[in-house]
Amino acid sequence: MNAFRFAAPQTFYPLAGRLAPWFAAAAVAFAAAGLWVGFGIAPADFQQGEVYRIIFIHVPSAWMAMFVYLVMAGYAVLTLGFRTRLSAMMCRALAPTGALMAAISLWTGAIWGRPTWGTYWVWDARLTSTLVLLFLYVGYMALVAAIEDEQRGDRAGALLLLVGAINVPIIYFSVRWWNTLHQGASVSLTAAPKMASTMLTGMLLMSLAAWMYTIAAALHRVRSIILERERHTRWVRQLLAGPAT
Amino acid sequence: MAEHHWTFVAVAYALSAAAIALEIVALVRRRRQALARVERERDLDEDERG
Repeated sequence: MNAFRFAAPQTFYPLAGRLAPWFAAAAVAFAAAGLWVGFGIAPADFQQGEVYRIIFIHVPSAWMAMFVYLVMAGYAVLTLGFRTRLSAMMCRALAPTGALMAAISLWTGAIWGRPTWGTYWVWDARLTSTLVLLFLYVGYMALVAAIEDEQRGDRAGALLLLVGAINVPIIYFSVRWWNTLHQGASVSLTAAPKMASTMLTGMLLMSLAAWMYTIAAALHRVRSIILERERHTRWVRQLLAGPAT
Repeated sequence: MAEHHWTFVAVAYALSAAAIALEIVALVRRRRQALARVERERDLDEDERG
């Protein structure tokens, strides 16, 4: 099977339609399991008490906000380098969910910060660079929406995504490079986790839920974008003339 | 502050759930708008062709 054929909107559209419900169902299942472990099994933290349970939404959303931006930057390379139509559409489809994840990570962090740090917000390197990430998402969406010529908008947006990608390693390493109020990484690929296994399990399950949700939302949104952009093509007209898909 | 811990947790999760619900509503609305736009333009084209 030639996987590159799915780079064409015409072939990707039905595939996305078939996959999206499965990813949505997986998101619900992982979220249910993650919340059950996080609230029903994981013990209270010996220092922070119950409020640490915000971690089960805060960390997965923060990870997704960074990861989605990197995926968009990857699609931006394809957009600028190969002018593939679907990659630009995927950037547009991912941006709102990435922005949502960044916003969730910021407000859950602020709500967590009040009882633990005594403040909702400090201009600390981790918090500030995550706020910059949210601005990059919003800036990208505003930029592509403001340019009438869709292909020019795609290229301008891709350029912004590539320039902004430098912010992602800054967010990740900010807690090592600077003396921040935000704690260091609780989970690392090179070191043993610093939390109880049930807490880690709950967090990983919720992270999987965030992955599945993001993929489902992006697939659903990209189908609308494909329809709008390809509305003058014969295949879209034929598609809508036939049974609903 | 410790007695309010569950309030902070509830607010964090409620806000996040509301935001996700809003995004899902926006996704469904956008899909409907895209379908309506394609059908509208197709009907216009057919009218022009007679």
